[in-house]
Amino acid sequence: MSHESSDEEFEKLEPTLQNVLDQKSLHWIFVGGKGGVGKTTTSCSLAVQLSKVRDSVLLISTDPAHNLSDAFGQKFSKEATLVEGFTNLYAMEIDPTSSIQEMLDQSEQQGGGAMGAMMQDLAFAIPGVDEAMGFAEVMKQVKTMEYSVIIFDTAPTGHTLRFLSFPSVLEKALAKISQLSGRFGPMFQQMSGMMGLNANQEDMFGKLEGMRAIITEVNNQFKDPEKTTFICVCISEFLSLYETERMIQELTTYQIDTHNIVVNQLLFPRKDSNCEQCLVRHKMQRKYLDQIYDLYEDFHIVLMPLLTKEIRGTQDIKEFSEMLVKPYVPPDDLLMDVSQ
Amino acid sequence: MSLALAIALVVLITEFILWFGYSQIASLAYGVYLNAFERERVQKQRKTKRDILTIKHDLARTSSQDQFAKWAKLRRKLDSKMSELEKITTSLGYLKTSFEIKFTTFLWVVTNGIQIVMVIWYRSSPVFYLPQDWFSPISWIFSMPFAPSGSVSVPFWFLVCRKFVKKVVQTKRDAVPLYHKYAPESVKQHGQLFIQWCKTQIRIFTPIVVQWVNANVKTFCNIIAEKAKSSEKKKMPSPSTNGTSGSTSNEEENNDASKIEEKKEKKEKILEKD
Repeated sequence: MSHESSDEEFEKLEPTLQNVLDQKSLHWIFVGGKGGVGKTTTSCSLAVQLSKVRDSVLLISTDPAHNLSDAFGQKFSKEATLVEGFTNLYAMEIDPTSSIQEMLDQSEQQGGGAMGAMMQDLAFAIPGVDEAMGFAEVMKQVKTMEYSVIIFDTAPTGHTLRFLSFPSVLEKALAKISQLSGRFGPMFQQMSGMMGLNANQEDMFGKLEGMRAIITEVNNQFKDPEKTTFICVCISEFLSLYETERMIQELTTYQIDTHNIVVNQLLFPRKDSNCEQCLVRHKMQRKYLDQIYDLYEDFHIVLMPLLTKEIRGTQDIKEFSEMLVKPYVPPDDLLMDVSQ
Repeated sequence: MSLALAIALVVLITEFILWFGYSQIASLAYGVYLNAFERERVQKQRKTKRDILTIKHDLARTSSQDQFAKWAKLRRKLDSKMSELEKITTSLGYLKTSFEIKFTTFLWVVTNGIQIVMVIWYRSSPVFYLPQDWFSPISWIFSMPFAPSGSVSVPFWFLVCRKFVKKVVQTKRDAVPLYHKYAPESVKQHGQLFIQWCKTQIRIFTPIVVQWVNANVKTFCNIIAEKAKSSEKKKMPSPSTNGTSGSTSNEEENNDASKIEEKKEKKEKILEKD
């Protein structure tokens, strides 16, 4: 079916996510965009499609709002859970900021008071470091799991993006810290002994060092277009487009591959429709769609229609996901010609 | 006697540099240096700035809502140009700082280093002898610390020269208001005319000279370098460092020439103020 569509359009890249499904080397897939454009729906659909061609798929939501549970109609936790109706699709919901909180609590329970204090100081010292560290913790967990592909449904504010932008700063800071630990470690131990503290500084520096290693490794993987790609989701409106352009520029500076744009919530009113709002909106969407085609020539641009019902439950998602691989062809009596 | 003249010259140059200010001279020299050796980078910077202004102008005229694609493309171009400009600017900034540090050090050596060296080198040689009966009871002061008695020593002569220059400057400064107060009108008028004539002459010739110097600094350097090379070839077995030092000193001379021109302008301005 993908061949059909590519035959139809010679210049444009095929308007599906088939390329993502075909690229077997992909290990990390990020789905991102402004809030309310249908990121969760898109990532769920993509996960469903991927589950057909891959051994095992993990879908992670880092959005504190946690829409994953709503989308599948099933409660997920921060443990990977099998999605009902699938044999190889797992989902989990994590909040990066709460993850560092847990880490702090944990270290306090273990009696490593200095570790906790240190982490707190660090979290306050550099803005965004708490999120990044939380994310690093998440990555650590995820890395130990054996999934052939992992899809991130990112939060609108883009914890992910910030994390991706983090490498050099945090790496340098942590490198400095571990360097210091080598120099002042013994003194530190003596001091804490005198003060009556029971700081397990070996453990503390070891943890920081480990975190640094993870961040470095993960960042290297993220910069590899064979292993990682970013799928931008937007709607055909000015602000969404603006955000998308900014995001793509940002991704380019972080050297993260992105070559797919999903344009969501498109209206296809009937030719004889007398719904004024629909027609006006359709016209506007058409205008921005033209701009998208003009601007992102080397992207796969996937058009998704606005359905008349909410997409809830596995069945809906399965149906919706078909449109990611088969270009949506509106019935003949509709205004818009997709393959235009 | 030549020693006395040399010292006087050194003091004159030193006082001039001090009066003009290290940083002023350094920045002037930096301008010449940029023009001579970094012209491409400066021109590139200028071109980038102009491009940025053009793009900004276009961007302002492009509606981001109606022509989003065009607008976004312009935006990308602008961003890339901006980062390029930043890179050039920072590199030039580094260059400027390092150049100014080096040049200021050089000026310091010229002003203070030479004096110190001369004082030490000629510590026991007389500049000239005074007639016996001029300052007979206190003539030993003039030969302090190591010069033969009855003569004027190098440090003392330095002191005298410096005092003299300072007094001259002071007198000139004091004389200007007096001149304005007491000089007859006709003298003032003629003086004004003369100064104006001088100004126009300088205004005409300064840019020509500066341009000439700028245009020829490189060729001079090249010629001297070649000469040095050829002489080096002649003295093949004993390579000398004359070449490099010669070229740098020449460059300095050129810089000095342009500086003097600049100084003239400065002086006029001061005159105007007075």
